[in-house]
This record gives sequence, C-alpha cells and structure tokens, in this order.
Amino acid sequence: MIKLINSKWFQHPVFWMLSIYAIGNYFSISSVFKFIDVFYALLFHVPLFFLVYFNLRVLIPRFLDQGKYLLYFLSIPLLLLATHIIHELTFEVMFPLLDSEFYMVSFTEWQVLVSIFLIYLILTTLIKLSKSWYTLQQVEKEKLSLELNSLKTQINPHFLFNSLNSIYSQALAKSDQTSETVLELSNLLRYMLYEVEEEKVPLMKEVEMLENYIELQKLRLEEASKVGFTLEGELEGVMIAPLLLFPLVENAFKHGMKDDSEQEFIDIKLKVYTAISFSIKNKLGQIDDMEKGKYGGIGLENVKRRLELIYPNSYELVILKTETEFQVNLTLL
Amino acid sequence: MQKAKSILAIGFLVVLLNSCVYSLFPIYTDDTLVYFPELLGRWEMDDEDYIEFRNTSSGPSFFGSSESADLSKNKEYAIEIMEGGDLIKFKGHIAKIGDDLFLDLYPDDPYSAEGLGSNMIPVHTFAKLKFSGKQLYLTSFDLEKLNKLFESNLIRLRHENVDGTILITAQPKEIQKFIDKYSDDESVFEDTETYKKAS
Repeated sequence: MIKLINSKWFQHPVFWMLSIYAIGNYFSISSVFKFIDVFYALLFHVPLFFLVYFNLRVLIPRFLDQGKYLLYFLSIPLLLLATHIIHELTFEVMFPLLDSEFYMVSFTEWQVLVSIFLIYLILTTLIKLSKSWYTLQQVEKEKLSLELNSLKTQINPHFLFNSLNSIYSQALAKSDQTSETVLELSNLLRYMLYEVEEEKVPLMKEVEMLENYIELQKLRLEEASKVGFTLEGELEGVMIAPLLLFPLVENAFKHGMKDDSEQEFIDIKLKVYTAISFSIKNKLGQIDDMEKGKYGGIGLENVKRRLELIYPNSYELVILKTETEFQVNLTLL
Repeated sequence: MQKAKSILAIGFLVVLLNSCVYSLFPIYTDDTLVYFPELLGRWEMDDEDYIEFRNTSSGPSFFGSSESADLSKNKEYAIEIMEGGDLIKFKGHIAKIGDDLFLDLYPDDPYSAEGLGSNMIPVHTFAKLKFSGKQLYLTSFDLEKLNKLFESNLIRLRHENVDGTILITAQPKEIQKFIDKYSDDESVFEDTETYKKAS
C-alpha cells in the first residue's frame, strides 16, 4: 500500500484530479459544480499538462539539476508564453473540433491565466525539488546507517581476537580462571550482539560493559598492573552511542600492557556533569613503534568516524602522545 | 431567486421584444462602440411596425460624467420601436464584435416607465444588425433555444433563471467573446427581420 502511495502512477493522477476539481470550482459559473465545469476544467488542463511536464521532464533535468540556473529562469517566460498559446489553441481550435454540444469560451484575462500558470509552475517545481531532497536524505540516511553498522562490526572481530588470545594463553597454562574468562567473554558478546543495535544506549550499561571488559583483561595481567577506573557524576538517564568508548579502552590494554615493566598502567576517568568527559591514559610500550603500521590507529579511526557521524559538531577529541604515555580526552557535549 | 425577481424589469421588454435575450450588462465596451450616421431615420417593416434611429439629445448621463460615459454618449442613438401598435423608446448602441454588428437596446427612461417600481432595474437586450443602402436587417437570438441550452447546462455563460427566463449576468467582455465565437452559429438565431428605409 505504501509502495502504491509513493508511486508516481498514484501521486500524479491524484494531483491532477484535485487540480481539475479546484480549477472547475474556481471557474464555475454558479454555486453548483456542474459537468460543464468539469469539461471546462479538463480543457483548461491541456496547457497545464504541457507546462508541468515540460518543466519536470525537460527544464528541471537539463537546467536546474545541472546548475544552469540562469538558463532555467530565462526559459520560464518562454514556457509561459508557449502555455498561453496552447491555452488559446485548445479553446479556439481543439474544442470546436471536438464537435461538443457545449457552448463555451475561455474568457479569462491573460494576467489571471499567467498567474495560474506560474502557481502551477512554482508548486510542481517545489514538489519535485522537495521529493528530490527527501530521496537524497533517504539515500544519505541509508548510507550512514550502513557505514555505522560496518563500523560496529569492525569492533567485534578486533575485540574477539584479543580475548581469544587471552583465553588461549590461559588454556595453555591450564589456568583455573579459564572458565571465568569464557563467561566474561560471553557476557560481553551478549551485550555487543543485542544492545548495539540501538542508536543510543544508557551510559550506565556501557560503563558496566567496560567494567566487565576490564575485569576480563585483568585476569591475564600481573597483580602489579595498575588499572584505574574512576567515575564522577550521575550516570542515570544519560545516553551514549554503543561501544563508542570501547575501542579506546581496548587500545589502552593492547598498547599499555605489553612489557613486564612494573610501571605499566592504565588510568580511566569518566565524569558526567553537563557533558560526558572521558579520559584514558596508558603507558606506551617499545613494541608499539614496531606494530604501529600494522595495528595502530584502527580503533581510534573507528571512534573518530563514528563521532563525526553520530555527534557532528558536538564533541571534542584530544589525543596527547609523549614518548612514554598515550592519552585520549573525549568530551561529548 | 426572490431577490433576482425583484430587480428585473424583463416584463417591460418581453411585451415588445418577445424573442430577445436579456442581459444585466451591456454588450458594448468603449473599444467596440461604432456609430453610423447613415442609420439615422425611420426603417419600416410593414405599414405599422418600424424602428427609428435618432440623435440623442444632450442631458445628464446615466453613468455620470466619466470619460467612458462620454464616449458611449457620443455614439448613442435614441431609438423608437413600434411593434403591434405599441411604441417603446430605447437608448441604442452598436458594438462591432468580430465581423458582426450588434445593437444593444436599453430602456430610454427606465426608472419612470410605467410598471417599474423603485426596486426594479432595467436590463439590456441585443440583436445582430446589418444594413446596406436602403435595407436594415435585425436578427434576434432564439430565446427558446437559448433557454433550453441554459437549462440543460450546455452554455457556460454566467446567468440567472428568472421564472423560466434567462438573464445573462456575465460581464461585457465575456459576452463579447462568447458572441464573437458563436455569431455564425445560425441555430441560436431566429429568422432575420428586414426593414426598409422610409425617410
């Protein structure tokens, strides 16, 4: 049904039927809408059909759509003149040829006629342009949705790959923690499978997921490792794009926990007041320089692109890098 | 409809011109008015019936003192029609519409004529006119046919139906365009009446 309504084979006849009724009523010679008024309105529409379809099929595609605005506007007076000539021909030549039993003439003054023609020209051009704009918006929306889905699906294999590596290490060592790690991974995957379909999720759920992930990662870390996660402010009722912070935390674990140094650390801070302020700092290992070309930046680029799509002009992302530390500060306004 | 009845003086014209078409507005406009001095004088149809064209005497115009009124006054005839023993006086104007001439008749003194009350206004009537030398031809519209066409909604011209009689309420330009288109359609006209120049 919606497909039918959106079809031009439905929309055009409906438009013209309404138009015939409106013109018939406007030019009716009495308060009663008679068949002769319909007949007159039908004849009146012959030049209108020409006007509208010549504009839609020729002038708009050849001039307006091509950005030749001057040519388009110069062609309008010629189109109006041609329409007026067709109007005269319709009533003076075509109508007598029909051998109709009706007696009628078109006694509308040319100023009124041109005004009516202009109204139809402007109206149908606006309808055409708004439909084109709507179609463009739909295409952009679908493109955006496709790109966002693509970005989300990029996260899963990346995270899964790292987690499976951890589980593999534990399994090799026949660690008692293996089953717990698998359970944590299962919880995280459940979140990723079912929650990320939403455009926005409660920040509280996102934080829970991050805490689970951190716990999961801690299982494979030395006790000496320092992972800090501090929260400030009220999370209740605050929404955020799903898995937006996740690649930043994942990257921190990937790059901040690679050597056996006692100085390894990750420091995460989340402040929720008038804005969401997220800060993550980690120690850079020497291996990062070697792997930079291979892995570096995938997660961060993913976050940047999603921020551009979901929070256009309402975010601030600052990346600070020294020889030993890497810090990302993200503010969502 | 009651209101429409009260504003008409159709009966006044029907008596003498029982096959004419009636209009609230004149058939002529400034650009269509023509004047033929050779029409002045009496034109007889038979021993009794005649039509006489005379110059109008100067006096206050019905339309006031506008330029338009002056023009119509300059090209105005005083017309007397004798038909069946009754004499009626009109103001007459001739309009050239297309290739044809049309005579517009309007009661000479409409507001004081017998039978007309203060709540009634007179109407125009018109007929196709031709003349050559000593012959004058007047062709009236076929009122019966026109009434049928109007009642059947086959004519697209503004009008009112007053007790079965059609009163055209269209503006002069509309009437002119309509007449221009259908003036050659013999089916809407009656037989032509021929008058001969008497004096």
